[in-house]
Formats: sequence, C-alpha cells, structure tokens
Amino acid sequence: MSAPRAVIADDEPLLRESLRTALAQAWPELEVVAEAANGADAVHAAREHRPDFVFLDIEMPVMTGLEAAREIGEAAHVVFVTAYDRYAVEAFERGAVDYILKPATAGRLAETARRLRERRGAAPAQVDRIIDELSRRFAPAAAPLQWVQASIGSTIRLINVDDVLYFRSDMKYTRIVTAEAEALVKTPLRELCAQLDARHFWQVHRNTIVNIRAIQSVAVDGEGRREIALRARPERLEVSRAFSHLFKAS
Amino acid sequence: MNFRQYVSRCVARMSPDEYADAKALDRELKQHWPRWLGWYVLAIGGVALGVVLLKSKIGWWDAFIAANALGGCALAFFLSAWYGYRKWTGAGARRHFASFIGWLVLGAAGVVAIDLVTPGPSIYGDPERIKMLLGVILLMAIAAFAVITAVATLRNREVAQRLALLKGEAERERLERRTVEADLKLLQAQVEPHFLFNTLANVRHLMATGSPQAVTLLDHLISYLRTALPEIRAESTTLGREAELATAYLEIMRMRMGGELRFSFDIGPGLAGHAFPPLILMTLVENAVKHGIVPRGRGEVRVRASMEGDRLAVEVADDGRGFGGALGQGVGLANVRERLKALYGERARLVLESGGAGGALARVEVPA
Repeated sequence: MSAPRAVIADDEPLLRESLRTALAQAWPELEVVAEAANGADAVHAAREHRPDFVFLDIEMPVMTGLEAAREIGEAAHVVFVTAYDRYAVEAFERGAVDYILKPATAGRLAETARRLRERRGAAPAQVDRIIDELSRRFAPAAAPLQWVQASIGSTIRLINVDDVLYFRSDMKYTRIVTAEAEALVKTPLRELCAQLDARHFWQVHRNTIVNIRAIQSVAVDGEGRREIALRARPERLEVSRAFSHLFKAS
Repeated sequence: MNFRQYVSRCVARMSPDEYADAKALDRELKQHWPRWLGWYVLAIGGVALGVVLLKSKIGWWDAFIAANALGGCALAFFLSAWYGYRKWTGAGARRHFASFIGWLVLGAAGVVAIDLVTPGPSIYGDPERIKMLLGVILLMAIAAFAVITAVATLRNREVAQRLALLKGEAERERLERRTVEADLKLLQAQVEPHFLFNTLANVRHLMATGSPQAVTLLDHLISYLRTALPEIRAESTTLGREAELATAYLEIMRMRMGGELRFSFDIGPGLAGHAFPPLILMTLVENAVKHGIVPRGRGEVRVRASMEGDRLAVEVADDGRGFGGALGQGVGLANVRERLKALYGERARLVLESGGAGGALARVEVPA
C-alpha cells in the first residue's frame, strides 16, 4: 500500500502548521499533500489530490467545514477539527466520525492516527446525516427580518425594521419610510411581508405595510373608510377594505 | 346555593380590572360609609321634597316611598352602567336593552294585575290612567337608556385609556427585561469558547516551536481577558478602556491571521476618558473582522472617535466585502442597538453603511 496522503484545511495559518507538525510526529508516514484556508479550497484540493484523509476545521470562511465535508462525500475520510463545541463532539461520537479537538495533544493525535490507519482501507463513513444535523444547529433558525439593506443616494445603509414606520411599494421597488429618512429596496413588498414579524407589521393595503408601533390613531369616516395617522410623519395611510377588519372599533 | 357562594362565584368570573373596581368600591364604602349614607339621605330628601312641592296632594310618607323607589332605581341604573359598562356597549348592548325594556313592561303589567285583583276601586281600570302609566314607563325607559349609554360609553373610553397606559408600561418592562437578557447574551458571547481555544491553540503552537511570539500572543490574550471578563458588570466604562479591549482583540486576530490584518485607532484628543457603554465598540470591531476581513484573508480595520457637536461619534470601518454577503440575523448588531436604546433612548443611534468603494462602516453616536 502506498503512503497515506492527507489534506489539511484551517483558515488560520499557524493552526495548519501546528496540525501538520503534530501529525508528522504522531504519524510520520502520512504525507500532507495540500493545505487549504477555506472549505472551497479544501474541496478543490480533495478533488485534485485524491487524498485518503481530509482534516477539516469546522468554522471556516467562504465554505464551512461541514459544507466542504458534504461536497467531498465519500471521496475521502473526513476528520473534523474543532476548537470546542459540545454538540458537535456529541454528534461525532454518536456517528463514529473522526474528530480532533484544538489544541490537539500528542496523545490524542496518536490515538486518532491509530484509528485512521485502521480505517484507511474501508469505505469512508456516511457523514451526511450528522452534517445535516449540525448544519441546522449552525445555521440560525429563521427569525423575523431584523435589518434591511436600502440605498440612500449612493450609499447602502442597513435600516433596522423597528425604525421603519411603513413600507410602500413604488414601481418595482419598495419605499422604506423612517422618521428621518426614506430609502428604496429592491425586495418586493410581498416578499418583505413574509419575512417581517407579523406581530408588529401589518399589511393594511395592497401597497402598504405599516409598523403598528408607529401608529398614532386610526380615523374612520362616515363610509367606514379607515385612515392611519402616524406619530412621526404627517402623511396619512389609507387602509383598504380588505384589511379594514384589522382596525375594528370595539 | 347561599348568598356567599353566589357572590364568590361572581367574583371568580370578574376580569382583573373589574375585580380592581369592585375592590376599590368595597374599600371606599367600608371607609366612608357615613358620608355616602348622608349623601343618599340628602338626595332622597331632596327628591321627596320635590315630589311634595310638585304634587301637593301626595303625603310626606308616600313621597318618601316614591323618592326611595326612584332613587333606588336611578342608583341601580347608574351602578349597572358604571360597573357593567361592558354589557351596555359593544356587541351585547342591544340584547341587554331589549331584556331591560322587557322587564320594565312585565313590571308594569304586574302592577296592573295586582291592582285588578286587589279589592276596592281600581286606579288603573281607567284607560286614561293606563295610557299615562305607559307614558311614564316609556319616559323612564328613554331616560334610563340615555343615562346608561352615556355612563357606559364614558367608562368604556376611560377604561380603554387606562388599559392602553398599562400596556405601555408592560411594553417598557418587557424592553427592560430584554436589555437584561441582551446583557447576559453578551456575557456569554464574550467568553466564546471558539475564540479562546483557537487562540490557545495558536499559543501552544508558538510555544512548541519555540517562537518568541508565544509570549506576545499570550500577553494580548491576558489583557483581552482582563478587560473582557468583568466588563459587563459596569454600566459604563471609558472609551479608552474599550479601545484597549478592541486593541487586544485585534492584536490576537492579527497574529492568528499571520499578520494579514492591519488596524488603526484615531481617538480624538481628550476622548479616551469619555464615558462609553461596554462591549459596543468590541462588537463592532468583531463584526468587521469576522464578516469583513476573515473571509478575504486580509484587510484593515479603522476605528475613529470624534466629537460632533454635542455627540460622541465612534466609527468602525473596514475594507472588506461590505454588507453584500449574508448578514446572518444580525444578533450582535441588534444587541448593540437595544443596549443603546435602553441606555439613551432616542438620543443615541447606530448607523450601518456600506460605501461605494466596498467595505462596511458602523457608526455609533451617543450624547456627550
């Protein structure tokens, strides 16, 4: 059997170097054929060099170690390298996936090397399920939209939705109105409506979503038409028939 | 079911604000019953006097009974409207008025029936008198309707305002609670194991290779921990101390990134001693490094603080990829915003921009 080959991926140069020297001591015949600074490079290196093992740091920019592992699939044995994560470690233990905790001690690394030597001939473990589980945990749960990127003149500004008094569709843009400024975003109103926290943002018209915390009063005229007055702006917002039930006088 | 059970069942059905009303009435009557009794006697006496003066044929005794009946009715109407205002306004009002008028008519019929079956000449045998009786009932019903509606509507409005006020207070309380939670989250975020262990892994490697930089990195970590850990306990620290913390963090990251991170601080003269809330500058600097610099593998962070009129403005700019990429949920930034709001209300603000030339700019303004 030829000498075992490996790819090391970590975004921190010193930590790559550290792992390389530690592996050289624990497993002298292992040949590190390439190093990568992010997940995408790691995938690339794995395809190009066809190594037996890929050591993947989990937290990497551009593409995380988990995403990279999914891409690499069964082309190589994946060994995750992580600074600390109780959940990840638990998941790895359960799924019999190899992992190294940073900073890795010589003893622990020797143990890993022993296990990997045994594994080399076998097919790589199925890591998909564990990666799915961990990816869900790493990706934040879908929370209501908190910031919108809007252009004011030539700059792009992040506006916190709590400051927005109302959104109004304006041709193919959406106009965002705060107490001090107006800005445009390209996201259509319909899409925004789905992302906003429904407790605070109500659609009151086909073209308007209002922040109910910005409402001063709602006036009803003789024909039952409702009009919203805002605390911080003089303009009135019309409530269309379809949404007038939102403002039922009790 | 005895009276006590009946009452306790009624009390159990009350909403909190109704219960508060009932409690207040109970307290008031227990404390000031002679005064209220006095008012009642005075009112009844007045009505009786009026009845005697208007209809001199009626004796004092009859007038007293009539006044009590009228006064009792009026009081009952008023109390019903005052405390049961919900029944008399809104959806159920029509039903209540219908049953009210029904009882009125039934009562009148009862009086006529009693009069007819009792021996002696009947007062109401006379159709003229019946007509008058019905007229009086109608007038009373209209008057009662007007009084009840007016009182109930006013009460409804007043209670709605009170509830709105309470709701505002609850909202404020919720905000304060959220601030405390945000503080806790910050504390947890500050001692992020990933940062700590990765830094230690770097230190370990430098030591293992005999690099003199090991001590330097360890020193930076120590000064970072020294400022980061107790930070949260102080409501406010100085801009200088916050800049020290950010410097320690940036030094650590610079070494970890193999020197590819550059940074500069430009704190205006005399501003280092200026009060500044903890961990806000740190969060902005961390964001710049994590989202701006690390993805590119190199870059520069510039921190600038200056007085602008009566406001202290602190800016963190990087030359990274701007806000173009995934913004995440912006938890760190939302945290900063909430803390600013809790500390300064509307007088502070957080502005985030990505410039035309790329890179992101975060700017915090607080009152000086």
